[in-house]
This record gives sequence, structure tokens and C-alpha cells, in this order.
Amino acid sequence: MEAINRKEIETLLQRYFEAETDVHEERRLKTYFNSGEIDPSFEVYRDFFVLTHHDQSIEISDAFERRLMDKISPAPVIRIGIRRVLAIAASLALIVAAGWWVISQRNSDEATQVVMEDTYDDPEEAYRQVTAALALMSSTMDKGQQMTIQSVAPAQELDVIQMN
Amino acid sequence: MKWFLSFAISLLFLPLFSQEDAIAKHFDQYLSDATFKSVYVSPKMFDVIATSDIEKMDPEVKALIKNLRGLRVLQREGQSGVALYKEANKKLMAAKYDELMTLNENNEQIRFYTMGPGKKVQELLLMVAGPNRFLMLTMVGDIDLNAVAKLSKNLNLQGADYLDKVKSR
Repeated sequence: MEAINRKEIETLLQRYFEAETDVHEERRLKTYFNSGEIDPSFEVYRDFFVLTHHDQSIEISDAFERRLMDKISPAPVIRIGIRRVLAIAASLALIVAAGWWVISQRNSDEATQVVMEDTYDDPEEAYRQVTAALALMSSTMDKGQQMTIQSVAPAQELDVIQMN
Repeated sequence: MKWFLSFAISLLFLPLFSQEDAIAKHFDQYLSDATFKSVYVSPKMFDVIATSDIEKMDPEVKALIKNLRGLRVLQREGQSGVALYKEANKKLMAAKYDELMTLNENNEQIRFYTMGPGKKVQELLLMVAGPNRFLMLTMVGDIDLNAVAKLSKNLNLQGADYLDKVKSR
């Protein structure tokens, strides 16, 4: 009996230290080491299992949790003032408005792009057009000077087109 | 925050930087109208002209072109331009354009408008309206009215001929 028991414990210990034991086998080991009838060759392991058993019996007092919670400082409450909230809302609104404005502006730019397209690709042709336009303006001003001027705005601007 | 502010402010003033002529600003609906012919010479094209070696370039014209940033012509023929002329006058007056000169010639009403103070104006606009046509041309830039007026003495170009040269876009 003793020999069988000894062999069994030896096997269990071996498995135990290789972390292969299951719950039943561990319980068996603990019962053995707590029984007081331990084979002297296993004496070195006694404390291990007895201690483990003893640790399990430690109970946490009711006050423990309360004291622990007292030690933990309460989670910080983030306080955001109403002014800050308003400021954030205002800047968000501004960004949205600016974005909308840029988009609408871009759309209108596309519309005016056609309007802003050069009529001439050839600078010489453009030059002739500009010269003709200037000539028309100039000769019309000249005519205006020679003819009866029906209405003329600011007097000093009349001086401008007096050419003699 | 500073960055954002300056960004927002620059956005606010963005439209002011793009200098537009009166036709683009107030008569743009006619530019897409097929019954009108229009001509546009962009600031970029003025740069090209000013730096190119076009033969026989009149030095006075060259000096003027250097300070021009845009030319636009709007023209319609075969219809009376009188109603349009009246409408345009209202719009230009409302837009604070200064009336420079008005004259009647050959049953046509002609009026000059300027924008900007003094003798150097930022825009010079000419409008001609008769029973058979409407013409509006405007140039933007730094325009010396004296220099424009003096041109006719040197330029051997008949302004009236020019009207036939307006090409359709």
C-alpha cells in the first residue's frame, strides 16, 4: 500500500511539475501532503502544497474592497465650459461655411471660365484687335470733341480729352 | 488660430483680387447668347503681346498695351440696340461707373464710361447703340485717358472699319 502510494505520488509530482496534472490529481496531491503521513523523501515538497492550500483559505475582509476603492482616485470628469462648446461649434460652422463657399465659388468659376477664354491664340491677331479697339475709342473721343457734347460728367475729365 | 484667421480673411477678399470688366460683371448673360458676338483678350495675352516682336507695332499703342489687362467686346447686329443701351446705362450708373462723354452721331447714341478716379482710370468703356446695332467695348488696366485720346492723331486706323473685323468666337 505504502509502496503503491509512494509511486503514485511520485508520478503525480512529476506530472505536476511538468504542468500536466488535472484538477483531480492536484487535489489528490494536496490531500496527501495535508494528511500528515508523508513519505520522508517527499518532505521537501510538503511546504509547497500545504502553503498553497493555506493561501486558498485566505479570505478578503469586507472592508478590503471599500479601502481599495478609496485608494483609487475617482475618474476625472472632463468639464467643458459652455463658452468652449460655443467656440468649437462656431469654428466648425465657419469651416463648413468656408468649404461650402469655396465649392460654390469653384462652380461659378467654371461657369465664368468660358467667359474668360481668350478669343485669339495668335498674339498678332489679338494685337490688331486691341489696336482697332483703341483706335475706335480714340477716334470716338475725337469726334466727341469736335461735335456738340451733349452731356459731360466731371469737368476735369473733359480736360483729359482735350488734345490741342 | 492665427493661421486660420488669415486664411478665412484671404478667402473673404478673394473675389476682389480678380479684376473683372463691366461686361463680364454685368452683362455676362449676353456672352453666352448666340445673337451676340464677343471678343476677349486676357491679361495673359496682353503680356504675350507686350513681350512679342510684332512688326510695325505702334510705340504709343505698345505703351498703352503694357498697362492693359483685358479687352472685351460685345456686339449685336441687325437689331435695335436702344433698349439694351438704356438697360446698360442703368446698370453702369448703379455700378458707380462715371459717365465721361455722351454724343449722338448718325442716329446712334454713343457713351463713354470710366471707372476709377482722375485721369488714369481702371476701366474705359465705350457703348454704341443704333437702330441696327449694339456695341460695347471695355478695357481694364491702368488707362491714361490722355494717351488714348492722342492715339487717333497717329493711328491711321478707321475705328468704324474695326467693327467689321470683330470675329465671332
